[in-house]
Amino acid sequence: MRGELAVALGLAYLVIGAGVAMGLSRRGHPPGMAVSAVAVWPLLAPLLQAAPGPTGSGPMAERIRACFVALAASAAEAGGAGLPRAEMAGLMTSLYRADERLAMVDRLLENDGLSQLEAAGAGGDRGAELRRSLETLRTARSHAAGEIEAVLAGVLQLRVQLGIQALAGDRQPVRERLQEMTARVHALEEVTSFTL
Amino acid sequence: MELLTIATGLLRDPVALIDGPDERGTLARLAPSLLAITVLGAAVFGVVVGSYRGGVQVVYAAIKMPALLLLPVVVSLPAVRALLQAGGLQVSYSRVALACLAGAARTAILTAALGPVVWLYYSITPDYHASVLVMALALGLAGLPGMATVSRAVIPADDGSSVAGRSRLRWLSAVGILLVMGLTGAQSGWLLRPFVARPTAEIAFLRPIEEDVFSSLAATSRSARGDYRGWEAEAEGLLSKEAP
Repeated sequence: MRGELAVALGLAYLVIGAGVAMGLSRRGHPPGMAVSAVAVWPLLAPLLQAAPGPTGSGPMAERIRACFVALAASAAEAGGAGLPRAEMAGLMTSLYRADERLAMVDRLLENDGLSQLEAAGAGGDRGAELRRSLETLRTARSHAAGEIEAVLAGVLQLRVQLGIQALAGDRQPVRERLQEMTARVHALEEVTSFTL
Repeated sequence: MELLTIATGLLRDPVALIDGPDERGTLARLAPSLLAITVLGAAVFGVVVGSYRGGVQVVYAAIKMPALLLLPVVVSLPAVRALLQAGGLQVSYSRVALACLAGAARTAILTAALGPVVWLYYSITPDYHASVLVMALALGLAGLPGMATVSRAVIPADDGSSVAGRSRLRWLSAVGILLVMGLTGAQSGWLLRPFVARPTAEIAFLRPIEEDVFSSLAATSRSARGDYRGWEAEAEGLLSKEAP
Protein backbone atom coordinates (compact mmCIF):
# COMPACT_ATOMS: atom_id res chain seq x y z
CA MET A 1 0.00 0.00 0.00
CA ARG A 2 2.72 2.43 1.09
CA GLY A 3 4.94 1.58 -1.86
CA GLU A 4 2.04 1.74 -4.31
CA LEU A 5 1.01 5.19 -3.09
CA ALA A 6 4.56 6.49 -3.39
CA VAL A 7 4.92 5.07 -6.91
CA ALA A 8 1.54 6.52 -7.96
CA LEU A 9 2.48 9.95 -6.60
CA GLY A 10 5.87 9.80 -8.29
CA LEU A 11 4.33 8.79 -11.60
CA ALA A 12 1.73 11.55 -11.41
CA TYR A 13 4.50 14.06 -10.72
CA LEU A 14 6.50 12.83 -13.72
CA VAL A 15 3.46 12.84 -16.04
CA ILE A 16 2.70 16.45 -15.13
CA GLY A 17 6.39 17.24 -15.58
CA ALA A 18 6.35 15.69 -19.05
CA GLY A 19 3.32 17.82 -19.92
CA VAL A 20 5.05 20.99 -18.72
CA ALA A 21 8.19 19.99 -20.63
CA MET A 22 6.20 19.58 -23.84
CA GLY A 23 4.50 22.92 -23.26
CA LEU A 24 7.83 24.67 -22.76
CA SER A 25 9.28 22.99 -25.82
CA ARG A 26 6.34 24.15 -27.95
CA ARG A 27 6.84 27.71 -26.71
CA GLY A 28 10.37 27.70 -28.03
CA HIS A 29 12.32 27.23 -24.79
CA PRO A 30 15.65 25.39 -25.13
CA PRO A 31 15.63 21.57 -24.83
CA GLY A 32 17.69 21.69 -21.61
CA MET A 33 15.01 23.78 -19.97
CA ALA A 34 12.27 21.44 -21.16
CA VAL A 35 14.11 18.37 -19.84
CA SER A 36 14.70 20.07 -16.48
CA ALA A 37 10.98 20.74 -16.25
CA VAL A 38 10.28 17.00 -15.93
CA ALA A 39 12.06 17.05 -12.57
CA VAL A 40 11.32 20.56 -11.28
CA TRP A 41 8.16 21.58 -13.14
CA PRO A 42 6.68 23.57 -10.24
CA LEU A 43 9.60 25.99 -10.59
CA LEU A 44 9.36 26.36 -14.34
CA ALA A 45 5.57 26.28 -14.70
CA PRO A 46 5.33 30.13 -14.78
CA LEU A 47 7.04 30.04 -18.16
CA LEU A 48 3.94 28.33 -19.56
CA GLN A 49 1.74 31.32 -18.84
CA ALA A 50 2.65 33.10 -22.02
CA ALA A 51 4.82 32.90 -25.07
CA PRO A 52 8.50 33.53 -24.34
CA GLY A 53 9.33 37.13 -23.80
CA PRO A 54 11.39 39.10 -26.26
CA THR A 55 14.53 37.29 -27.32
CA GLY A 56 16.72 40.37 -27.15
CA SER A 57 18.02 39.84 -30.65
CA GLY A 58 17.53 43.39 -31.95
CA PRO A 59 20.33 45.78 -32.89
CA MET A 60 20.04 47.71 -29.61
CA ALA A 61 19.37 44.75 -27.31
CA GLU A 62 22.76 44.90 -25.63
CA ARG A 63 22.38 48.60 -24.85
CA ILE A 64 18.88 48.05 -23.47
CA ARG A 65 20.15 45.27 -21.24
CA ALA A 66 23.11 47.35 -20.04
CA CYS A 67 20.86 50.33 -19.24
CA PHE A 68 18.49 48.24 -17.13
CA VAL A 69 21.28 46.38 -15.38
CA ALA A 70 22.81 49.74 -14.43
CA LEU A 71 19.43 51.03 -13.30
CA ALA A 72 18.79 47.89 -11.21
CA ALA A 73 22.23 48.27 -9.63
CA SER A 74 21.51 51.91 -8.76
CA ALA A 75 18.12 50.98 -7.37
CA ALA A 76 19.70 48.24 -5.24
CA GLU A 77 22.31 50.69 -3.99
CA ALA A 78 19.55 53.14 -3.12
CA GLY A 79 17.85 50.51 -1.00
CA GLY A 80 15.66 48.95 -3.66
CA ALA A 81 12.76 51.26 -2.94
CA GLY A 82 11.18 53.71 -5.33
CA LEU A 83 11.29 51.79 -8.60
CA PRO A 84 8.01 50.01 -9.30
CA ARG A 85 9.11 46.57 -10.44
CA ALA A 86 6.10 45.81 -12.64
CA GLU A 87 6.34 49.09 -14.52
CA MET A 88 10.06 48.61 -15.09
CA ALA A 89 9.36 45.10 -16.40
CA GLY A 90 6.77 46.45 -18.79
CA LEU A 91 9.07 49.19 -20.02
CA MET A 92 11.97 46.84 -20.66
CA THR A 93 9.77 44.30 -22.45
CA SER A 94 8.26 47.02 -24.64
CA LEU A 95 11.74 48.30 -25.49
CA TYR A 96 12.93 44.82 -26.43
CA ARG A 97 9.87 44.30 -28.60
CA ALA A 98 10.37 47.65 -30.34
CA ASP A 99 14.01 46.67 -30.88
CA GLU A 100 12.97 43.33 -32.37
CA ARG A 101 10.70 45.17 -34.79
CA LEU A 102 13.75 47.23 -35.82
CA ALA A 103 15.63 44.00 -36.48
CA MET A 104 12.76 42.73 -38.59
CA VAL A 105 12.72 45.94 -40.65
CA ASP A 106 16.51 45.75 -41.04
CA ARG A 107 16.21 42.23 -42.40
CA LEU A 108 13.53 43.40 -44.78
CA LEU A 109 15.59 46.35 -46.03
CA GLU A 110 18.67 44.17 -46.47
CA ASN A 111 16.68 41.58 -48.38
CA ASP A 112 18.36 41.01 -51.75
CA GLY A 113 15.09 40.28 -53.55
CA LEU A 114 13.63 43.61 -52.47
CA SER A 115 16.75 45.50 -53.62
CA GLN A 116 16.64 43.76 -57.00
CA LEU A 117 12.95 44.56 -57.34
CA GLU A 118 13.67 48.20 -56.52
CA ALA A 119 16.48 48.31 -59.10
CA ALA A 120 14.47 46.45 -61.76
CA GLY A 121 11.53 48.84 -61.67
CA ALA A 122 13.75 51.89 -61.52
CA GLY A 123 12.09 53.79 -64.36
CA GLY A 124 8.37 53.01 -64.17
CA ASP A 125 5.51 54.09 -61.90
CA ARG A 126 5.74 50.87 -59.93
CA GLY A 127 9.42 51.53 -59.31
CA ALA A 128 8.71 55.00 -58.01
CA GLU A 129 5.96 53.67 -55.77
CA LEU A 130 8.25 50.98 -54.39
CA ARG A 131 10.98 53.52 -53.72
CA ARG A 132 8.49 55.74 -51.89
CA SER A 133 7.32 52.79 -49.79
CA LEU A 134 10.86 51.83 -48.94
CA GLU A 135 11.70 55.43 -48.10
CA THR A 136 8.68 55.55 -45.77
CA LEU A 137 9.84 52.33 -44.13
CA ARG A 138 13.35 53.73 -43.65
CA THR A 139 11.91 56.91 -42.15
CA ALA A 140 9.72 54.89 -39.80
CA ARG A 141 12.69 52.77 -38.82
CA SER A 142 14.77 55.84 -38.15
CA HIS A 143 11.95 57.36 -36.09
CA ALA A 144 11.55 54.18 -34.02
CA ALA A 145 15.31 53.93 -33.43
CA GLY A 146 15.35 57.58 -32.32
CA GLU A 147 12.50 56.95 -29.90
CA ILE A 148 14.27 53.95 -28.39
CA GLU A 149 17.42 56.06 -28.02
CA ALA A 150 15.40 58.76 -26.29
CA VAL A 151 13.84 56.28 -23.88
CA LEU A 152 17.25 54.75 -23.10
CA ALA A 153 18.54 58.23 -22.32
CA GLY A 154 15.50 58.60 -20.06
CA VAL A 155 16.36 55.34 -18.29
CA LEU A 156 19.83 56.68 -17.58
CA GLN A 157 18.23 59.89 -16.35
CA LEU A 158 16.22 57.77 -13.91
CA ARG A 159 19.48 56.76 -12.23
CA VAL A 160 20.19 60.41 -11.52
CA GLN A 161 16.70 60.83 -10.14
CA LEU A 162 17.23 57.83 -7.89
CA GLY A 163 20.23 59.66 -6.43
CA ILE A 164 18.11 62.77 -5.91
CA GLN A 165 15.43 60.63 -4.33
CA ALA A 166 17.98 59.12 -1.96
CA LEU A 167 18.82 62.63 -0.77
CA ALA A 168 15.43 64.34 -0.95
CA GLY A 169 13.20 61.32 -0.36
CA ASP A 170 10.64 62.35 -2.97
CA ARG A 171 9.87 59.34 -5.15
CA GLN A 172 7.01 60.82 -7.15
CA PRO A 173 9.18 62.18 -10.02
CA VAL A 174 10.77 58.74 -10.57
CA ARG A 175 7.39 57.08 -10.96
CA GLU A 176 6.11 59.84 -13.24
CA ARG A 177 9.21 59.65 -15.39
CA LEU A 178 8.84 55.89 -15.71
CA GLN A 179 5.19 56.21 -16.72
CA GLU A 180 6.08 58.84 -19.27
CA MET A 181 8.71 56.61 -20.85
CA THR A 182 6.38 53.62 -20.85
CA ALA A 183 3.76 55.65 -22.70
CA ARG A 184 6.39 56.77 -25.18
CA VAL A 185 7.44 53.21 -25.98
CA HIS A 186 3.83 52.05 -26.19
CA ALA A 187 3.21 54.77 -28.74
CA LEU A 188 5.80 53.07 -30.94
CA GLU A 189 3.52 50.04 -31.14
CA GLU A 190 0.80 52.10 -32.75
CA VAL A 191 1.26 52.63 -36.46
CA THR A 192 -0.62 55.90 -36.22
CA SER A 193 2.14 57.37 -34.11
CA PHE A 194 4.41 57.41 -37.12
CA THR A 195 4.09 60.03 -39.78
CA LEU A 196 3.77 57.54 -42.59
CA MET B 1 32.00 31.54 -17.67
CA GLU B 2 28.29 32.28 -17.43
CA LEU B 3 28.02 29.89 -14.48
CA LEU B 4 30.95 31.53 -12.71
CA THR B 5 29.46 34.99 -13.17
CA ILE B 6 26.11 33.86 -11.82
CA ALA B 7 27.77 32.01 -8.93
CA THR B 8 29.64 35.19 -8.01
CA GLY B 9 26.40 37.14 -8.16
CA LEU B 10 24.69 34.57 -5.95
CA LEU B 11 27.35 34.93 -3.28
CA ARG B 12 27.72 38.70 -3.42
CA ASP B 13 24.15 39.89 -3.88
CA PRO B 14 21.64 37.21 -4.92
CA VAL B 15 18.69 39.57 -4.76
CA ALA B 16 20.32 42.00 -7.20
CA LEU B 17 21.05 39.08 -9.52
CA ILE B 18 17.39 38.13 -9.84
CA ASP B 19 16.08 41.67 -9.48
CA GLY B 20 15.42 42.20 -13.17
CA PRO B 21 12.31 44.08 -14.17
CA ASP B 22 11.08 41.30 -16.47
CA GLU B 23 10.56 38.48 -13.96
CA ARG B 24 9.44 35.81 -16.39
CA GLY B 25 12.25 36.68 -18.77
CA THR B 26 14.76 36.58 -15.91
CA LEU B 27 13.40 33.18 -14.84
CA ALA B 28 13.75 31.85 -18.39
CA ARG B 29 17.29 33.26 -18.64
CA LEU B 30 18.61 32.22 -15.22
CA ALA B 31 16.76 28.96 -14.48
CA PRO B 32 19.08 26.64 -16.45
CA SER B 33 22.20 28.14 -14.88
CA LEU B 34 20.75 28.15 -11.36
CA LEU B 35 19.68 24.52 -11.74
CA ALA B 36 23.12 23.57 -13.05
CA ILE B 37 24.84 25.32 -10.13
CA THR B 38 22.51 23.59 -7.66
CA VAL B 39 23.15 20.15 -9.14
CA LEU B 40 26.93 20.64 -9.42
CA GLY B 41 27.43 22.19 -5.98
CA ALA B 42 25.23 19.70 -4.18
CA ALA B 43 26.80 16.77 -6.05
CA VAL B 44 30.25 17.85 -4.85
CA PHE B 45 28.99 17.88 -1.26
CA GLY B 46 27.30 14.53 -1.90
CA VAL B 47 30.62 13.03 -3.02
CA VAL B 48 32.23 14.26 0.20
CA VAL B 49 29.46 12.88 2.40
CA GLY B 50 29.36 9.58 0.51
CA SER B 51 33.12 9.23 0.95
CA TYR B 52 32.54 8.38 4.63
CA ARG B 53 31.42 4.94 3.51
CA GLY B 54 33.01 4.96 0.06
CA GLY B 55 32.22 2.75 -2.92
CA VAL B 56 28.85 3.11 -4.59
CA GLN B 57 27.60 5.26 -1.71
CA VAL B 58 29.67 8.13 -3.18
CA VAL B 59 27.57 7.94 -6.35
CA TYR B 60 24.28 7.53 -4.46
CA ALA B 61 24.97 10.53 -2.24
CA ALA B 62 26.08 12.64 -5.22
CA ILE B 63 22.78 11.85 -6.97
CA LYS B 64 20.58 12.39 -3.92
CA MET B 65 22.15 15.59 -2.59
CA PRO B 66 20.84 17.82 -5.44
CA ALA B 67 17.41 16.27 -4.87
CA LEU B 68 17.75 17.16 -1.20
CA LEU B 69 18.12 20.84 -2.11
CA LEU B 70 15.49 20.93 -4.85
CA LEU B 71 12.75 18.81 -3.27
CA PRO B 72 11.96 21.24 -0.42
CA VAL B 73 11.90 24.12 -2.90
CA VAL B 74 9.47 22.32 -5.19
CA VAL B 75 7.27 21.14 -2.33
CA SER B 76 7.12 24.39 -0.41
CA LEU B 77 6.63 26.73 -3.37
CA PRO B 78 2.82 26.94 -3.06
CA ALA B 79 3.07 27.39 0.71
CA VAL B 80 5.59 30.22 0.29
CA ARG B 81 3.27 31.95 -2.17
CA ALA B 82 0.31 31.50 0.19
CA LEU B 83 2.29 32.92 3.12
CA LEU B 84 3.22 35.95 1.06
CA GLN B 85 -0.38 36.56 0.09
CA ALA B 86 -1.46 36.12 3.70
CA GLY B 87 1.08 38.79 4.56
CA GLY B 88 -0.48 41.16 2.03
CA LEU B 89 2.39 40.88 -0.43
CA GLN B 90 1.52 40.49 -4.08
CA VAL B 91 4.52 38.63 -5.47
CA SER B 92 4.32 36.87 -8.81
CA TYR B 93 4.76 33.12 -9.03
CA SER B 94 7.75 33.72 -11.34
CA ARG B 95 9.41 35.83 -8.69
CA VAL B 96 8.84 33.21 -5.99
CA ALA B 97 10.19 30.44 -8.25
CA LEU B 98 13.22 32.55 -9.12
CA ALA B 99 13.87 33.34 -5.46
CA CYS B 100 13.60 29.66 -4.49
CA LEU B 101 15.97 28.64 -7.29
CA ALA B 102 18.47 31.30 -6.26
CA GLY B 103 18.21 30.16 -2.64
CA ALA B 104 18.85 26.53 -3.60
CA ALA B 105 21.77 27.49 -5.84
CA ARG B 106 23.32 29.64 -3.11
CA THR B 107 22.97 26.80 -0.61
CA ALA B 108 24.58 24.41 -3.11
CA ILE B 109 27.59 26.69 -3.57
CA LEU B 110 28.01 27.02 0.18
CA THR B 111 27.69 23.28 0.77
CA ALA B 112 30.35 22.69 -1.88
CA ALA B 113 32.52 25.26 -0.11
CA LEU B 114 32.04 23.43 3.19
CA GLY B 115 32.94 20.15 1.49
CA PRO B 116 36.68 20.27 2.25
CA VAL B 117 36.01 20.95 5.94
CA VAL B 118 33.62 18.00 6.19
CA TRP B 119 36.04 15.84 4.21
CA LEU B 120 38.85 16.75 6.59
CA TYR B 121 36.66 15.78 9.54
CA TYR B 122 35.68 12.47 7.92
CA SER B 123 39.34 11.74 7.24
CA ILE B 124 39.89 11.20 10.96
CA THR B 125 37.25 8.42 10.75
CA PRO B 126 34.80 9.74 13.33
CA ASP B 127 31.87 7.84 14.79
CA TYR B 128 28.92 7.35 12.36
CA HIS B 129 26.51 9.43 14.46
CA ALA B 130 28.98 12.27 14.78
CA SER B 131 29.43 12.17 11.00
CA VAL B 132 25.67 12.46 10.47
CA LEU B 133 25.51 15.41 12.85
CA VAL B 134 28.40 17.16 11.08
CA MET B 135 26.65 16.69 7.74
CA ALA B 136 23.38 18.05 9.19
CA LEU B 137 25.29 20.98 10.71
CA ALA B 138 26.99 21.78 7.40
CA LEU B 139 23.66 21.63 5.56
CA GLY B 140 22.08 23.83 8.21
CA LEU B 141 24.90 26.37 8.00
CA ALA B 142 24.70 26.49 4.22
CA GLY B 143 20.91 26.39 4.17
CA LEU B 144 20.34 29.43 6.36
CA PRO B 145 21.80 31.95 3.86
CA GLY B 146 19.87 30.18 1.11
CA MET B 147 16.58 30.52 2.95
CA ALA B 148 17.42 34.11 3.84
CA THR B 149 17.91 34.73 0.12
CA VAL B 150 14.41 33.43 -0.60
CA SER B 151 12.95 35.55 2.15
CA ARG B 152 14.79 38.72 1.09
CA ALA B 153 13.98 38.23 -2.57
CA VAL B 154 10.24 37.91 -2.10
CA ILE B 155 9.70 40.31 0.77
CA PRO B 156 10.74 43.83 -0.18
CA ALA B 157 12.66 45.88 2.37
CA ASP B 158 10.36 47.89 4.58
CA ASP B 159 10.85 51.49 3.48
CA GLY B 160 9.09 52.83 6.54
CA SER B 161 5.90 53.68 4.68
CA SER B 162 4.03 50.57 5.87
CA VAL B 163 1.66 50.77 8.77
CA ALA B 164 2.68 48.81 11.86
CA GLY B 165 0.20 45.95 11.23
CA ARG B 166 1.44 45.46 7.67
CA SER B 167 5.03 45.46 8.90
CA ARG B 168 4.21 42.71 11.41
CA LEU B 169 2.55 40.65 8.67
CA ARG B 170 5.68 40.91 6.55
CA TRP B 171 7.77 39.76 9.46
CA LEU B 172 5.42 36.84 10.09
CA SER B 173 5.55 35.91 6.40
CA ALA B 174 9.35 35.86 6.52
CA VAL B 175 9.38 33.65 9.62
CA GLY B 176 6.73 31.40 8.08
CA ILE B 177 8.75 30.97 4.91
CA LEU B 178 11.88 30.09 6.88
CA LEU B 179 9.94 27.58 8.97
CA VAL B 180 8.22 25.90 6.03
CA MET B 181 11.41 25.62 4.00
CA GLY B 182 13.45 24.50 6.99
CA LEU B 183 10.96 21.80 7.97
CA THR B 184 10.47 20.48 4.43
CA GLY B 185 14.24 20.52 3.93
CA ALA B 186 14.84 18.52 7.08
CA GLN B 187 12.11 15.98 6.30
CA SER B 188 13.35 15.66 2.68
CA GLY B 189 16.76 14.77 4.04
CA TRP B 190 15.14 12.12 6.19
CA LEU B 191 13.21 10.64 3.26
CA LEU B 192 16.25 10.59 0.97
CA ARG B 193 18.64 9.09 3.52
CA PRO B 194 21.13 7.46 3.81
CA PHE B 195 23.74 10.02 2.78
CA VAL B 196 26.29 8.90 5.34
CA ALA B 197 25.98 5.12 5.27
CA ARG B 198 26.90 3.08 8.34
CA PRO B 199 30.26 1.35 7.83
CA THR B 200 28.71 -2.05 8.58
CA ALA B 201 25.30 -1.65 6.94
CA GLU B 202 24.35 -2.84 3.49
CA ILE B 203 24.39 0.08 1.07
CA ALA B 204 20.93 1.06 -0.19
CA PHE B 205 19.83 3.95 -2.39
CA LEU B 206 16.87 4.74 -0.10
CA ARG B 207 15.82 3.39 3.27
CA PRO B 208 12.23 2.40 4.13
CA ILE B 209 10.02 5.23 5.39
CA GLU B 210 9.91 5.35 9.19
CA GLU B 211 9.28 8.04 11.82
CA ASP B 212 10.57 11.54 11.03
CA VAL B 213 13.72 13.60 11.04
CA PHE B 214 13.32 15.10 14.50
CA SER B 215 13.07 11.82 16.37
CA SER B 216 16.08 10.63 14.40
CA LEU B 217 18.18 13.71 15.18
CA ALA B 218 17.31 13.39 18.87
CA ALA B 219 18.29 9.71 18.83
CA THR B 220 21.50 10.32 16.90
CA SER B 221 22.45 13.15 19.31
CA ARG B 222 22.01 10.75 22.20
CA SER B 223 23.99 8.07 20.38
CA ALA B 224 26.83 10.51 19.71
CA ARG B 225 27.05 10.88 23.51
CA GLY B 226 27.12 7.10 23.96
CA ASP B 227 23.43 6.64 24.83
CA TYR B 228 21.99 4.17 22.32
CA ARG B 229 18.37 4.15 23.54
CA GLY B 230 15.53 5.39 21.31
CA TRP B 231 16.34 3.61 18.06
CA GLU B 232 13.16 1.53 18.08
CA ALA B 233 11.76 3.45 15.13
CA GLU B 234 8.09 2.91 14.42
CA ALA B 235 6.29 3.46 11.17
CA GLU B 236 4.25 6.67 11.30
CA GLY B 237 2.52 9.11 8.98
CA LEU B 238 0.37 8.84 5.86
CA LEU B 239 2.89 7.04 3.68
CA SER B 240 3.70 4.47 6.30
CA LYS B 241 0.15 3.19 6.93
CA GLU B 242 -0.09 -0.37 5.81
CA ALA B 243 -3.34 -1.72 4.43
CA PRO B 244 -5.23 -3.77 7.05
